[in-house]
Amino acid sequence: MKLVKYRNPMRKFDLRSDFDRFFDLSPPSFSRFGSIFDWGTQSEQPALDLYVDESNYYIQAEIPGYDRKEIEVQLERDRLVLKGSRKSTKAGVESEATFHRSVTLSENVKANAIGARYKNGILTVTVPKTEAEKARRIDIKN
Amino acid sequence: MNELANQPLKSEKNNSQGYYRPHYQIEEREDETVVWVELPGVAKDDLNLTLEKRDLILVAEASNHRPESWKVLHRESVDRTYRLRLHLGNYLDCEAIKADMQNGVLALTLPKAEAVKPRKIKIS
Repeated sequence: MKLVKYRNPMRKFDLRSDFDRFFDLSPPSFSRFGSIFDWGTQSEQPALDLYVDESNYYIQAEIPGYDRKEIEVQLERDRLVLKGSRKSTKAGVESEATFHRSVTLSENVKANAIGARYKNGILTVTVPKTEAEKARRIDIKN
Repeated sequence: MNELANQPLKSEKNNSQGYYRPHYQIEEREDETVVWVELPGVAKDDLNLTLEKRDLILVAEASNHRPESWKVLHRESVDRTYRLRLHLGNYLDCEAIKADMQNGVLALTLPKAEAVKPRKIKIS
């Protein structure tokens, strides 16, 4: 029985760029010490992307290998929490993998109309803008 | 090094030309070897598997999972082309490879050749 695991180091978090005033991304916990201490946790902080179009914000997380039922998207006040856990047995060894990321939402979103879907290992959460936020676009004239 | 040579599957050491080697796990079972390859964002149609002699080559594109109208606010993921080359050991049956893609994970099932499967010997 052999289990070979390959983890690409490039998967690690890259530097946080300036991000939009609407979102406050939680830094991955323990990431600063991850290489020094073994915290005995399998929890992953998946790569997170934020996008916007005219009517919605979109949050995308790469979480391959989960079943839809193993993923939870929760709103805790203004904090949108993405988490999940899955058990698997490979080579007779049972293991559990979990992930956790969160994003703070601004007041300018319709918190009660958030939708989520999971396809090809990518979780997409759609956060609609409020009407006021949509109307805030200012045209620039010559 | 010796240990590597004894493994049923060998993957190429480095990824050149901007290819990205996906995470993968190998499980040895009694009569088959299963390889799980993590390919988030890859649809079944974007996956290309070819067999060159005893090399199994996987190429997959993971860049088209969002519409063009979306503007980027913050990105941690990267658009990438995955590439993985696995050399299959002699005792695997190349003709009987099965591939199954689910939730961004590809499961490759490689049965062992009949000749190396454990079999019972009758005592007369």
